Amino acid sequence: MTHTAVAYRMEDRLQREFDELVYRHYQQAYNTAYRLTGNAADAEDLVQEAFLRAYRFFDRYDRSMPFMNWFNRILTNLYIDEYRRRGRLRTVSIDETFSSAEDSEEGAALDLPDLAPDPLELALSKEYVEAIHEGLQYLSPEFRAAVVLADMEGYSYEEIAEIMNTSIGTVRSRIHRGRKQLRDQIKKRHPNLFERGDLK
Amino acid sequence: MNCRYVQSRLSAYLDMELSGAEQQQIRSHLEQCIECSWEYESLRRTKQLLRQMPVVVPTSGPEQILLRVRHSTPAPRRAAVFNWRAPRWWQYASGFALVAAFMLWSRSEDPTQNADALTPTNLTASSPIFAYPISPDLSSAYRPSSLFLFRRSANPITEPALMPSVSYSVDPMLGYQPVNDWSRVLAEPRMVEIQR
Repeated sequence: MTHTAVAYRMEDRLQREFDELVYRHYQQAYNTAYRLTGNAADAEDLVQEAFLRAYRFFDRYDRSMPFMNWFNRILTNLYIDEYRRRGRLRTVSIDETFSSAEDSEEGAALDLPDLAPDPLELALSKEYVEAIHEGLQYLSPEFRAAVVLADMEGYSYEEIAEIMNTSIGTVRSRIHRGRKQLRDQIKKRHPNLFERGDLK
Repeated sequence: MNCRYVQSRLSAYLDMELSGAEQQQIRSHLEQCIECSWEYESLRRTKQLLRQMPVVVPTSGPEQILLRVRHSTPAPRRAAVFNWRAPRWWQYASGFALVAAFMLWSRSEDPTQNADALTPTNLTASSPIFAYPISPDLSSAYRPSSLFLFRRSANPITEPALMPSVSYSVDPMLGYQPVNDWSRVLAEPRMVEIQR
């Protein structure tokens, strides 16, 4: 039947396009999921579920929009829903955090052209990475998602508003409050990072 | 411009997400206010720490995902019309049977069908045992047909209804009830308009 043949060819083309997108963005998606969920097992589940859902609704994907913007929307919503459903996610295992983070330490993005040279720009030590990672777990899912999308993924407020399906004003307040809460958490463990002494 | 206002916008200022004028105003405030400058500095450091977080690499590749995608339902296409499949004959048959059953049921409830058999004259004339006037059970005679049953339950009685003046008690939930006192039932019901 002609319809079926056409349908198969279309499906095949979509399938190949989707496979390529998965290969290209899998690592980045995993990284985001890991920062959101706080551990490897949940991150893997979240990424898998998000890609499956993306595949199911792939016909609704508007090609004029970057795939990751669309995908992160699915991922973030899934994460927030799942978090609400479960109440609270599993606690973080520090060993797990580190075994996987360590390997990629040299690959850490250090592109901060707009900021002055700073002692903090050196690669973060283990303790700092740990403190930040755990500090993130204290934030509510909405705040955490907003902060991760802004500061780790580098999205603009407008893009985050689109991803989280909310207003720019809400995004602004979530990022601001999220950062302040995170700062207070890190400060508890490493007050030296926020010492006042070295401000000009 | 007070410190409270400035501090609520420090993250947006840091991300360059304010309008040019606002960005400028906050910058000039920060030059004068040490407290706000510290607040700004701590947020800047927080952001920078986040940006320096190492990228976490997954231990396995995306093969698992691709495998699951293969086994999931294929991506639904926009032109879903082509997927329409004609129902089988038995799928029509069940629908037809339902309609037929409904029609039979509604006809069996029709009061005009058995009205003849239930008139009092027929019953009194038939044998001497029934020489005295009896009250035949007419409870079903004035039962409305099934279609009315549905209509009434949906909207009880909305217009000034024309009803028999006799007391066939109409309960809005139960419908017409059996008549208890036949002496009060007129031979020929008059139609009156009920005031509501």
